[in-house]
This record gives sequence, C-alpha cells and structure tokens, in this order.
Amino acid sequence: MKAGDSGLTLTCLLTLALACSLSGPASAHIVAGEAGGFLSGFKHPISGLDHILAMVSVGLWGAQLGAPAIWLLPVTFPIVMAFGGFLGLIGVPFPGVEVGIAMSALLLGAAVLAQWRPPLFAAAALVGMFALFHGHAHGAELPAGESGLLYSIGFVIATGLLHLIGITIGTVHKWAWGRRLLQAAGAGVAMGGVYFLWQAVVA
Amino acid sequence: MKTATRPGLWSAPGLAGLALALSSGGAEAHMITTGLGPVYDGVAHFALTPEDGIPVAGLAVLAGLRGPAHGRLALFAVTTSWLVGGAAGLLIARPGEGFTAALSLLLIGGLVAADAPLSSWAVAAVAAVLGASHGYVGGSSLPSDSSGFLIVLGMSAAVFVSYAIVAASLLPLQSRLAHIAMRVSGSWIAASGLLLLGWTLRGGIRIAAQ
Repeated sequence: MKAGDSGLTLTCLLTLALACSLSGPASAHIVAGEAGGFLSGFKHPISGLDHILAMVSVGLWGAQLGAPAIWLLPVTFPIVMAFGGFLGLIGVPFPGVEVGIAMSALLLGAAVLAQWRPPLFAAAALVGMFALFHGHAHGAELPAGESGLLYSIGFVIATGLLHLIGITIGTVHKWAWGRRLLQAAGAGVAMGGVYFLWQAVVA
Repeated sequence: MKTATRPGLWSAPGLAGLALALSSGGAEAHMITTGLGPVYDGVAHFALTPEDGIPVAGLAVLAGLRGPAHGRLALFAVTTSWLVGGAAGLLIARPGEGFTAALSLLLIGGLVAADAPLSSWAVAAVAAVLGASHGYVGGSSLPSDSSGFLIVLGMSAAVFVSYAIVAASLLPLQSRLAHIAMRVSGSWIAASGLLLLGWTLRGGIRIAAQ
C-alpha cells in the first residue's frame, strides 16, 4: 500500500471518529430520559469502573492466552453480553448481578495475575458467564428511546474497544518485564474486584 | 485489477459511507426530502437510515469473507430483491413488524462472526431475504404512486453502490488480521441486533423507517 493511501485511510478513520462523536440524539418525538444516539450508547459501558476493569481484563487475559483466545474471547463476549442485555431488556430476572460483576473483576484479575491457562472452552465459558452479568446489568438500565440501533452500536463498540485496549496493553506479554507488568495489572483488577464485591455484599 | 492493489483508497468511500450512517441525526419524519427529486430522496433515505445501511454493510463483509463469486451473486440478489420488495410494499402498503432490522442484524452478524461456510447460492438467498424484507418495510411507508416507486428505485441504487463499494474494499484484504477484524465486526453487528431485538420487544422504540 502506498504511503498516500495510508494517509487517506487514516484521514477517513479520523473523519469517521469525528462523525461518530458528533452524532446527536434522535430529535423526533424525544422524551426526557429516553436513549439518545451513538454517543449516549458509547458512554454507557464506560460509565462504571467495575465494567471497565472487567472488560479490559478480558483483553489482558486474551493477550496472555494468545491465539486463538486473543480473538475468540472478544468475538464471544459482545454476543453473550448482548444476550444478557436482551434478557435484561425484556425483564427476565437475574439474581446477584452486582455480585457477579464484582466476581468477574476479581476472578479475571486473578487469572491474569496467576497467568492461568485453562482449556479454551473453559476460558470462553468463564468469560461468557461474566458477560451475561454485565449484559444483564446494562440491559436492565437501558432507557427507552428512538435511536435504539445507534445506541446499541455505540454500546457494543465501546465494549469492544475496552477489550481492544486490554489486548493492546497485553502485547507487552512477549517481554519478561511485560509479563510482570501484566501480573501487576491483574492484581490491581483483582483488588478492584474485592472492593466492588464488598460494596455489592455490604452496601 | 486496481482494487486488489489499492485497498486503502477503496476503503475511503466505504468509511465515508459508514461515517455518514453513524453521524445521522434523529429521524424528523419517515422520509428524507432532498429537493432533488424522488430518486435522490431514496438515495438519501438509505444513506441516513442505519437500520438499512448496516445490514447491507454486514452482507458485504460476509461477501468479503467468502470471496468474489459469493459477492457478485449477492450484489444482484440484494439489489433486485430490494426493488421487488419495495414495489410489493408500495402495492400492499401494510407496514411490517418492527423486528426487521433487529433480525437481519442478528442473522447477518451471526453469519459473519461464525464465518459460516455458506455456498454462493446460500449467500445469495440470504441477500434476497434481506433485500426483500428491508425493501418491503421501506416501500410500505411510501406513497403508492410513481414517486414512491422512484424512491424505491433510488434506495435500490444506493444499496447496489454501497454494497459494491464495501465489498470491493474488503475482498482484497486476505490477511489473517483482516479476517479476524471482519469476524469481530460481525459479532458487534449481531450483538447490536440482539440488543435492538430486546429493545423492540420491550416496546421502547419505534423504528424510524416505519
């Protein structure tokens, strides 16, 4: 690919990012409290530290496990999370959601800390189970709105980008100091999980 | 073939189209009026309706995963069926259920995420179902006169061009990373469809195109 083409692609990507960030809420029949556009959905998953820690740690763990987990987990997570969101949206009760979310940060962080390498199926099942908790929590909180699709896309892209951040950080795994750094990050996530678990159980 | 050597340049229109779709504002009415006539109204309607544009883009990604033979058949299948479905919608004028966008996103996204090994005829069949259903929904909300048909014609032309641009930009990308990125995009499309389905079932939304 020529350098000019790369520049053009980069320009288009920046234009896309700008256009996405400028998208406004639906103005037709708008009612206070309803969902807005892409940006509202994008902000939803990054509004809670417990969600952020868990999503980033999915990427960290995927990077530690390597192929095919590095891409299988981020492919699996959004669909299972959306299924949890679907259950939350239609009102299916899901007990212990906050505890489940806190446990996801705790256990995923511990997995990164211990450099745990379970079979791929077990890793996908564990991540999928936690995705259900996160999805249900988001789904139950989602407001009604006109721009359901743009909101959903923003929501899913934000989740995917959190995984991507985790994977990007996780690329340091190929160096010895990077592996120690990842373990330290896993310890941080696990401690965050302990805090959120305390909050969920006691508060 | 130049497209095979200049993916960056060819991806520019596709990205610009996606940017337009994502940056679209709220639906002010059921039809976009450009002042340039019904054909251009149809083009604008498609370009500013992500419920239509994203499934078509997803179909192009499916073609990008499967290869040129699949892409060519699907191109004509989706365009023709969109036109026929739109004409049927004009004649019957009975708005469909609000699940069309959610179900098509779920179907197309799921097939892309799973990298389903479909034959070219199976992809064409999926394209035909997608085009007919979306065309019908679009057509049923339009005036049942000649202007309505011209709007459907404009929509179909926009479908043809959009699909061709996205598929042409993706088909040359044969690297493993590009393959994974396409599958991840499929999982995002399917996840959005699933959320939209739940939202629709809850009755919290009213699809703009209807």
